[in-house]
Amino acid sequence: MRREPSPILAYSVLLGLLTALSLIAVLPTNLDYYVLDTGDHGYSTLYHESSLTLYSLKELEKHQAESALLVVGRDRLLDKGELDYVINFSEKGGLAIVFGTPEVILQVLKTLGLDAELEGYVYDPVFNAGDSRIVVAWDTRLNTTLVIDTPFALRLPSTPALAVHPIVYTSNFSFIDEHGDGLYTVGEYLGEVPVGFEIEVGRGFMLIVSAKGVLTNRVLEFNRDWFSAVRAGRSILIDQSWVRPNLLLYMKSLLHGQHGISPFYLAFITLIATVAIIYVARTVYAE
Amino acid sequence: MRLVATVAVILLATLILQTLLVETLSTPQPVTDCTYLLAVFKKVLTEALDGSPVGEYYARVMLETRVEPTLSSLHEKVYRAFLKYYSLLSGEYEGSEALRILGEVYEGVDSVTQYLQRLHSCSQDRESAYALRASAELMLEELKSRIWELEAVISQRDSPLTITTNRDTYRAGEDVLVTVAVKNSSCMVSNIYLSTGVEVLGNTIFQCNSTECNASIPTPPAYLVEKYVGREGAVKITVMAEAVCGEMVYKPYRRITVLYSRPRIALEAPSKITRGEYLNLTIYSETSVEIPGIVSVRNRAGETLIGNITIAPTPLVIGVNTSMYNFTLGENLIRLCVNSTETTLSYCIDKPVFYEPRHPRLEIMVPSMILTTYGEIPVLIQGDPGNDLLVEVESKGLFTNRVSSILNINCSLRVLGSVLPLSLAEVVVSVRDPSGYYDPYSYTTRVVVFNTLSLILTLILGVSSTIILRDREKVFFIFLEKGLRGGVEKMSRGIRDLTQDLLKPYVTGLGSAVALIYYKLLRRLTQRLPLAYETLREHYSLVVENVVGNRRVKELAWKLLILAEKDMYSKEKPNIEEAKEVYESVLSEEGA
Repeated sequence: MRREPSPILAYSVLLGLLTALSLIAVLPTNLDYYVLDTGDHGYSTLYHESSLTLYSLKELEKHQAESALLVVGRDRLLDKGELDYVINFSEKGGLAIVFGTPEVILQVLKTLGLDAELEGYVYDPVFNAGDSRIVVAWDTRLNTTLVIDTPFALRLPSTPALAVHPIVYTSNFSFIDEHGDGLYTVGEYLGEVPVGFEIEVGRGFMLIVSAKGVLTNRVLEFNRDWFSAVRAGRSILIDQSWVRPNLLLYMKSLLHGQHGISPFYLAFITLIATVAIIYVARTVYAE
Repeated sequence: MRLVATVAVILLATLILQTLLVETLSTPQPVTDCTYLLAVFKKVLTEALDGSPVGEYYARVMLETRVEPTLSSLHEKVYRAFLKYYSLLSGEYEGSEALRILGEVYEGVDSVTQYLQRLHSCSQDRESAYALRASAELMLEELKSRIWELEAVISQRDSPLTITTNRDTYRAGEDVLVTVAVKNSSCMVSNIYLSTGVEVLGNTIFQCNSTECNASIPTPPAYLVEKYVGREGAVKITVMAEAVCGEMVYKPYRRITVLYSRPRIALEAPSKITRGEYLNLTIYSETSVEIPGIVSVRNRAGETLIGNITIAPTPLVIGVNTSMYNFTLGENLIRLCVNSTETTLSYCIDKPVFYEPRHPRLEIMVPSMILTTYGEIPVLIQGDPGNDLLVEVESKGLFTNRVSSILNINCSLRVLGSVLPLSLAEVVVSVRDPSGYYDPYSYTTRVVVFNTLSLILTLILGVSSTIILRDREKVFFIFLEKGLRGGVEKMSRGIRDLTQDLLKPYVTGLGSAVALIYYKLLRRLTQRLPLAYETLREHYSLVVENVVGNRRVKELAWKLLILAEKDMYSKEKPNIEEAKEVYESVLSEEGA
């Protein structure tokens, strides 16, 4: 004889499901370059500024490249397909701002045919925003300052295959920490270091900033003027394609609207779950 | 109300924290990396020497940069001096004000040495930082001379006399052509001379007309100015004029640079020699000039003069008897020094020569691993040193053993390596020459030694002990515990205690009424009671099981045994009545 499903059990499942979904939606996530991360290297500030998130870079094809600005901040490498979408976007006249870890920047440069080498992280004990790794830099093209988080110096090939224009420099008081000890060592380069490069790709440009962050929460508030000038009215597309394989993160992103948790989604999912549980309970009871 | 207050406090704390965070983000922290400050200082100095306005910008930035509190006052003083130097260069100040600012610049520049010392001492890597400091100090000297020149310019701005020279830089031996222009007709030039700034280097004859005076002054000989010459052979010399204008005496001056050269001499010597050998030195001049000089040797014993020589283009070969001139084992520095001449500065060159000890040619053979009968290590020494040498072989293991012998041609020694079956012994072979011809020599090696005799003895002892101690473990431990510590008396007491302990059930009773009933039953059923080393269960299986034929009686005996054990060892004691009942059951079973 089959036991009747207890309504208490059904409600418990419902409550547990709701709690789990709410927790997923509400709990803070400390993940660099994630639109819901409110930490130093997150994108929550940028996300609030009427940005569109792309959970697949294939979606770039749906947007008009000339009027869009793609923000690619990464600490994990892009796959071949993703790189192709970004380059195609730039070739069609789009502007892509790329920053992240040295590995990511070197990978993007290599895809563009530039075999660069990492020289070391750049520190500026004089011109910084409270930490010698949060460096004040100068955009020579826009004549404006910007603050970049954890910049690093790259040695580019002397005869690059593409037109590369260094446009962002650190101050004359910055140095390249070639020894990686966080301190100046005799013999290390002391002077201005190029940390932002404009690369002509087809009809568009790619702005490579060799730094961990330039539009991330920690530094965005200092860079509003610079970003506004770079953006020049283009719509902002934020690359979040790396989020999709992680189901929890993806669900969290879907539950969240641009200005917080979306009650509609939460109610909708709760309703479906409730219906499903009632249906299962009745079926079992009928048997 | 309390809740509202708590919430308010939390909100306030969050607000303060956020304010602090914002503050942290926006204000750079004080710079504490001293090597970095040293490098930046050198950069500023380089720009200042180049006369680049960038240096002024750098100095201004650095003045506004916060450094750690212990450095800040020096830091400010130094960079303020730079800014004042730039303001003087730009002509921002004139007359007495300019001279006052110049005084402040001098004061600031004097602090630079202290600033550099402080930065050097707080640098993480002092050795590398020293190079930066030394380079900065050298540049500082150059800056000082620039400031001095600036002073000359300032001093002449309001002077009725102007002093000029045909060039700014001269080579030693050249003449300096000086012109003193007289702007005021009431002035009369009384003297024109060269000075180091501290001492006058000699007057000269000059000729004057109505508007100017001319003089030709030879550059001073090198031996007069040697102490003022910098590392690069340059010396700043002041060309001074004295003029009386009415009641006033004016002393306008101008700074020139005179370059002196170092003599080009060479010293060749072997990099190492053995004690007692002659050291051949080859000395010559690479120019045609003959220069007097001295050769000496410097070592731990001090400096010993080898001789006075004249260095000429023809190589001079000197054979130095090293035994005569206090050469010491290790590094010896051969120093060749020449005095200053009219045009060349004094100069010394050093050549390190390693003075090696004289050792006999010997071959020492010690096996690295050896299987011995009783632990002796053979050491064979071969060679023909010519003298009788004293050889000492020392083995350092568990014990130290030493043997010695006189070595003539060959020598074979045996030293006890170890008494243990297997050990690692350190063998040191020392060779000394009583006549002192050879230097003491020592050779050390490690040898793995197997001692067969010791190994066999250990085996025998081990086997014997095992055999002897079998079934006597408790007595052995009593021996170890009592016998070794307290001697025979304590050991005998220990054995007595043990015996009493073992016989306690028989002497003092079991202490268990149920066990007594079980023993009573056993006395009825068997002839043999449990022995001292036997458990009740062992006794049961060996004796009761075999002797008692009645299965029911055996079951009852087992039941009583369990009750006895429970009574003796368990917390839950059985009822004595139950034991009695079992006993009675056995009796009734026997009766039936």
